[in-house]
Amino acid sequence: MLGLHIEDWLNDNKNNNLSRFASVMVDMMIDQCVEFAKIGKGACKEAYEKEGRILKKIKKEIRVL
Amino acid sequence: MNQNPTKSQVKNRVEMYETVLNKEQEIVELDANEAARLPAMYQDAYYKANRLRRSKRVDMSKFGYSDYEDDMSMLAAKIRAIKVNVAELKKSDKGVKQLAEGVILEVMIQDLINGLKLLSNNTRSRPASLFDDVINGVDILLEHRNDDYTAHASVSVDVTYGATSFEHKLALIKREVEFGRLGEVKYYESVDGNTKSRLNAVPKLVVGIPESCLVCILKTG
Repeated sequence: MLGLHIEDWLNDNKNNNLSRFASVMVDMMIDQCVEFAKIGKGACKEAYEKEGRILKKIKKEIRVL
Repeated sequence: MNQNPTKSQVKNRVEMYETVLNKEQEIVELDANEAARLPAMYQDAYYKANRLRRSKRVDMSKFGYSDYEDDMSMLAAKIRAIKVNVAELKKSDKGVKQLAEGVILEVMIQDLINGLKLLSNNTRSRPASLFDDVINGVDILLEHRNDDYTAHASVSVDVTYGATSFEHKLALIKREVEFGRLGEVKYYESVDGNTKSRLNAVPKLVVGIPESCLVCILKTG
């Protein structure tokens, strides 16, 4: 761990903030996958569609800390 | 891949890599005087982040690529070119802060993914090699692994300050996608360290975090 005391922060009743941070980060990447899959073709389109599917699955599994 | 390089070849490769790595560190890293200009709450975080970033770098000298020497030359030339921009940034306190924020954010995101497993148990992150960072614009590599598949995505991270390089990076990726081009990670080492290879069709993504968000986490830490 980086040692920025993030874990202490998580234990300090502010846990949802970090889950929200992760959620926003994943949403940002999902949006990009959707947009790039729309404009991409062939293997490029498939790669972004696949990454988008994985990220959507991850979003559901983001740890509630 | 050359499976059996001679001892002198190995020594030469390591020396070339270390020379380039030292050049990059001299230019991009903050020295003690520069770091002293950072806001107090950034200083400790910067030193820790930078130390971790340096220690986790993928060792390019171990890949055995036949065009390794060309890569080192390309890397050295690119580092010389960015030296001017970085020197300009370091003239102001704001610029020094921006350089530190980039390092802190990059390491912090990896810390959250690997340490806290924030993106589930199946996703890990790897720092990019110096070559992929400087030449291919990759900061972090996401590795998704479960029983059915292993997939990768390259991520560039950015602290955003309003209308920014974030938009610029997105526009660059969009243009590449329009031409049907995906990202390349030339020096990829798996999280467990067992696989060293080249990845040729990696979707590229950008994560932009507002400065206020980074400050919030550092303040709370």
